[in-house]
Order: sequence, then C-alpha cells, then structure tokens
Amino acid sequence: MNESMSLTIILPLLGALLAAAWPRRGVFIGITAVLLSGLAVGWLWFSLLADGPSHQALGGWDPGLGIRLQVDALSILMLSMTALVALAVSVYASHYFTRRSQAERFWPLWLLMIAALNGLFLAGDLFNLYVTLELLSLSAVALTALGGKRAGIAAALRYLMIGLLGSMGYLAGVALLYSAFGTLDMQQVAAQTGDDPVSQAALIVMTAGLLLKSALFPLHFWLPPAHSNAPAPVSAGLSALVVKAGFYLVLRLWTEVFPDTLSTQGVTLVAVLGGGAILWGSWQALQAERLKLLAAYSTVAQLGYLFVALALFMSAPPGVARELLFGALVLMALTHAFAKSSLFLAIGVIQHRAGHDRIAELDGTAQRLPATTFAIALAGVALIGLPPSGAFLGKWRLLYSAISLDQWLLVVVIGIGSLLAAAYVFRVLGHAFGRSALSVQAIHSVHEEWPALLLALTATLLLGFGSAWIWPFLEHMA
Amino acid sequence: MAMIAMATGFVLILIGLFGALSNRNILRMIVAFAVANTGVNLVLVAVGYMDGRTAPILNEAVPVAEATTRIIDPVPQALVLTAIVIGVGVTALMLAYAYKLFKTKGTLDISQYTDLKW
Repeated sequence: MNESMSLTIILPLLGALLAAAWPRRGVFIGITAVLLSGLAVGWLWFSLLADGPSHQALGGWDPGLGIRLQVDALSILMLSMTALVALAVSVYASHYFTRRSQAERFWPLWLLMIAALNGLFLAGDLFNLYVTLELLSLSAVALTALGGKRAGIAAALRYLMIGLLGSMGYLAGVALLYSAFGTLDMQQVAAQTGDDPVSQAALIVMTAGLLLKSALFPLHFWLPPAHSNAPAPVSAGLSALVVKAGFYLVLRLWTEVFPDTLSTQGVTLVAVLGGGAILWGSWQALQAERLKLLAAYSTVAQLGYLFVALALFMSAPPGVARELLFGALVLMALTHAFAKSSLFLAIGVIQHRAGHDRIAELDGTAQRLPATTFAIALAGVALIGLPPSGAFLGKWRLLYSAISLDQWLLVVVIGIGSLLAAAYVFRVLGHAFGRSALSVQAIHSVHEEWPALLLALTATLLLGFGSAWIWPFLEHMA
Repeated sequence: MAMIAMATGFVLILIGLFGALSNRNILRMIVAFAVANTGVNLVLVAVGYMDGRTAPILNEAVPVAEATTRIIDPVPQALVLTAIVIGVGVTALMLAYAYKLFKTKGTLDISQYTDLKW
C-alpha cells in the first residue's frame, strides 16, 4: 500500500532528473516514466479497493511533525485522470517537437509537472500542498515559455507573477492556521476550525489565492494568453490538469478543513463569479479568431461550471441529492480534462498541418483530416454537455440541484452557457466542413491523431455510459 | 518582539502588493513581489517566536530533556527555509523572463507587451 503512494511521486520525479541528465533519450525516458507512474496509480487502485482509504507517514514521522500522504476516492480519481491524460499527451508530444532543443527541454519539465500534480493530489498537510502548488506552477510556467516566442514569454511572466500572488495568499493562510492551531496536518486542523476570526481570515486568504490560481472569473485574465501561446501538448496539460489542481484544493479545503467556517455569503459570491465565468468565457470563446484562444476561453467557462457546482454542493442540505451532486461535480471535472486535452491536441494537429489555427480559414479541414475533425466534434459534444458525454450527466444533476434549491438565475445562466458553447463548437465545425477550393488528399497519421481521438472517446462515451460506479465509489471511499 | 516582527511582516506584504500593482516596470514589479514574499516569511517566523526562549539547537547549553520549555518553535523556521528556497527559484525565473523580454524589445514596461495573437 504505502510504496505505491510514494512511487506515484518518485517515478515521474526520477524520470525528470534522468531526462534532464540524458536529454537525447528524453522521449524514451518520458514515456517510460509516465507509464510506470500510471502503473503505480493502478497499484494504488488495487490497495484502495482492498483496504479502503489510508495514509502513509513518510519516513516514520508521525502527523503533526512529519509529512503525511493520504489517498481516498477523490484523490485516486484525480490521479487516474492525470495518468491517462498525461500518457495520451506524452505519446502525442513524442512526435510533436520539430526542434530538438525544445524536445529536450520539454520532457524534464513535463515529468516534473506530473510529479507535482501527483504530490498535490496525495498530500495530507497544508504546507506540502503549498510546496507542490509551487512546484506545479514553476514547471507549468516554464512549459508555457517553451515556445520561446515573445508572446509566450510575456504570458509566462504574467502567469508566474499571478501564481506567486496566489501562493503568497495561500502561504499567509497557512501561517495564520499554524499560529492558531499549532499544526499543519489537514485532519488535525479540521478538528479545530470553527467560525472564529482566525479560521475565517485563513479561509478567505487561502481561497482568494487559489481562485486566482484556478482562474475563476474575473481573475482569469492571465489564463487565455498563457494557454493559447504554449506548444500544443503543453496547452493540453495546462488546460486539462493544472487548473484542476486549484479547484481540487478549494474543494478539499471547503469540504474537509473549513466545513464550519464557510459562510453563505462566501458561497454565494463564488456561485456569482462562477456564473460570470460561464457567460464571459463562453462569449469570449465565441468571439475568438484563433482555435487555441477559443479552447482557452472555453476552459474559463468550464471552470465556471465547476465552481457553480461546488457552491451548490456547499449550500445543499445533507441528503441523497447532495451526494449525487458531488459525484456529478467530480464527473464534470474528469470529463472536462479529457475533452479539453483532446481539443488542444486536435488543434495542434491542425496547426501542424495547416500552419495556422485561424478559425475563418479552416475550410477543407474535414476532408484533409477526418479523424482529427471527428475528435474535435466529439470533444465539442462533451464541452457543450450533450448526451452521451459525462458532462451531460454532470450538468443534468447540476440543473436538478439548482432547480430544487430555487436558484432560477443559475438555471438560466447554465442554459445560456450551453447555448453559447454549442455556438462556438458549431462555428468551428461549420468552417471545418466548408469545402476547400483545392482538391485535397485525406491524411491519416496514427501517433498524431490517435491520442486526441482516444481522449475524446473517453470523455464522450466512456465517462457517459460507464461512469455509474463513480457515485457509490465516492460514497464508500470518502 | 514577536509583535514587532509580525507587524513589520504585514506592512511589508502591503508595501509589496502596492508596489506590484502600481508599477508598470517589470523589474520594479519583481522587486515588489520579493518584498511581499519576505513579508509573508517574516510573519511565518514571528508565529513561532516565544519570548525569553533560545534558538532550537540541541547541545550542552540546551539538553534534550529541557528542550520543550527552553527553545522556540522550530517548525515555522523549517517552513520558512522551504519558502525562501521556493521564493529564490520563482524570483530567478521571473528575472530570466524579464531579461529575455528586454532583449527582444528593449523595454521593461509591461504594458508594451500586448502583442499576444488573438
């Protein structure tokens, strides 16, 4: 049990070091490390199903002083999401980079990012969450600047400054909590928080910092340039996985560490911001002239759905409906990860073949790249939230909860957001299916197109038809 | 003593945030972020300080048996060491990007870097 937990962090970290020391074998080391850490996650699944949620005190130091790793249903689902998306993106990335210097720099940073993500999903104390959060944003920022162009570097610098601001807020909250309770272990802190001023102040600065990092409207301004100027595999990783880290932490803090501290006003504020994110992100995505920017703004909107769902979950009365909403929330996060990474990889294929990603000039793409266009359409189904995607189940539950809580405004916002999402997806498809003046040959390229297609199929079919087990699993393994 | 350090820390955070938000020069912004970061670290150290106690080093002067009553809390210091290392890394990366940007365009005014493709 214990070894598999630390292995999911150690293996990608070791891979990152090896890839940095031996850049010529970067592809081999990268794919192997991602595969092995995926296997470690698989092993963790076995032990979780056999023994239930558990934790490990690293080096034998007890919680309070030592570092504790813990695993439960939520963290294993996030770990599996990271492992699968990272594997698909890694396969795509192994043939993506044309310049060797770029490829050689990609693999160490990419593996470091995966190590940081795995560490973040497993960490059981507040300070290690800060460390993994910083490792994550450092590697993500460096990946953003990998393209080496001025726009990418300017976006990376903004991203880094915003990330620093966010993590300073988080660290200040950690300092407050330690001064009041004398421990950083999440369970020990959770036992002592209440609606006292220190808990409230800590909750506010930590949440504000994390919202900045997870780009909740109107704190999203740094995200579109950063995600749209990075190389395609990086964009996929950033949009699918890295933004989820901030959301996951808010979810953990709200539900486990500060359940009694949270006020209704705070929850309402996040619901309003989430609604704003849905409308503004979808609207900007509709206005975008470049595919990558469209996908980046769509991420802003999809994060809005997650935060609206979280706010509804926090304000729902205990009962079956609340449990169902929690499963829907997790399912929406998973579906978005697969759909968005697929979209970014497909855009990468188009950009590679056509030399640009301007939406207005996509004519003939469906003839030239049928498999990739299919992947975009499938990912679009999941982004809009049409059946049979996992997002449909999630949104259905979300609407149901909004109606039963009499939040009619949210129902309207979710409806408009879905219409706008349909509009921006069909705008892309409309152009892609436009007839090209030149006669074109269909191109099929296995390692370029398959990762996007498989990710899209996972989001649309697997998470739609095969996700019923998530609800009981979350309930029993919490 | 701890109160002074704590108050200084909070003042530094505010100065840093104000500087970061009110400056357009990238170098000044980076310095402001470093000031704010130092403020957070100072607050964290001040949290573990206890009046009249000594440094958390166990030797002949402070035997292990008396340690719990005679030394200050070592955990915040360990945390701050980590936070300082991370801060150095982040600042170095910011400076590297600032240098790279300056080399391409010859200005450090962040409002000049609006050439993001739409």
